[in-house]
Amino acid sequence: MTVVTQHIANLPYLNIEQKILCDEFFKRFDVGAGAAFDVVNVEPLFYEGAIAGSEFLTYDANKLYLCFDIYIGYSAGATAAAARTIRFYDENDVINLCIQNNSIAYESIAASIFYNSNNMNVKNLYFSRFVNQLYNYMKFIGYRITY
Amino acid sequence: MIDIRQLPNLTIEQKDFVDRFYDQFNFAAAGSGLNRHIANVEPVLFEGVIAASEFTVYAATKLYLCFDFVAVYDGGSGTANAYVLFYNENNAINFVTQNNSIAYDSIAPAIEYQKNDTNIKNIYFSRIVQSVYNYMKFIGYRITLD
Repeated sequence: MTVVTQHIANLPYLNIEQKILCDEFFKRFDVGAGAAFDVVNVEPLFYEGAIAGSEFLTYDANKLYLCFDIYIGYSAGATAAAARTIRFYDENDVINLCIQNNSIAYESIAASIFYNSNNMNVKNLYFSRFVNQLYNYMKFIGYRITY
Repeated sequence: MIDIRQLPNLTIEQKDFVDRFYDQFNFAAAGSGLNRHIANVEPVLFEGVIAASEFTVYAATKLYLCFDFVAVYDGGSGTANAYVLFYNENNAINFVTQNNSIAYDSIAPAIEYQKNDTNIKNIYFSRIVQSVYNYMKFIGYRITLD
């Protein structure tokens, strides 16, 4: 889908990280018609809302997200639950990145570590889906890519 | 070959960074063997496992010009400190990054480290050594010297 992909990679206000991300993404996933990777649609996507039930949790072998900015937020306090991590998966549904940003304290009566889940943010990445631990809201700015 | 100095939309930090990088590593004659001439520039986008990745291997003819580096850990707190060491062109440590929250476990007793994401922008290095962190993201260039 040459016209659309060139359009994204050549957007005039891309910074250099975004330019490399787009160029390398399309080099990898838009090999050409008939190939395993051929981008057929590119949709700009802006999302603020609940993580649960959102499209970002679902793997599809023909869908990737090209993400310029993602924030993950949690609206409650510290608990003794395990560390809160967001795991991102690649085109083969294999983990390729994760993020976490916890402040911890040792609760001596419960005798366990308590985690407080601060906002997490990562910019300029791609993923097919993510798996959420505990966090409940998110913001996404980027593109939904169908190939 | 890409001349990174000429790319549009570099921030002023990136422009200073790239200009000084070229001053430092692109003044010798091609093929001199001094590794102070840029022979190749390749854009690199990497998301994945740190272990066994190309970033952990030193080569005198290879440097990474990095605009964005994120190292992350997939797991909970523990007694090991999490950090990433960066090495320069002479394979000497020139930078480190870490982002831990800590708590004292009085029963163990020991410090527990929570290995949060660590991010650094606009840095060059030849290789990294990581403690604890297991995934990373890199956006930048692989530079080959001769």
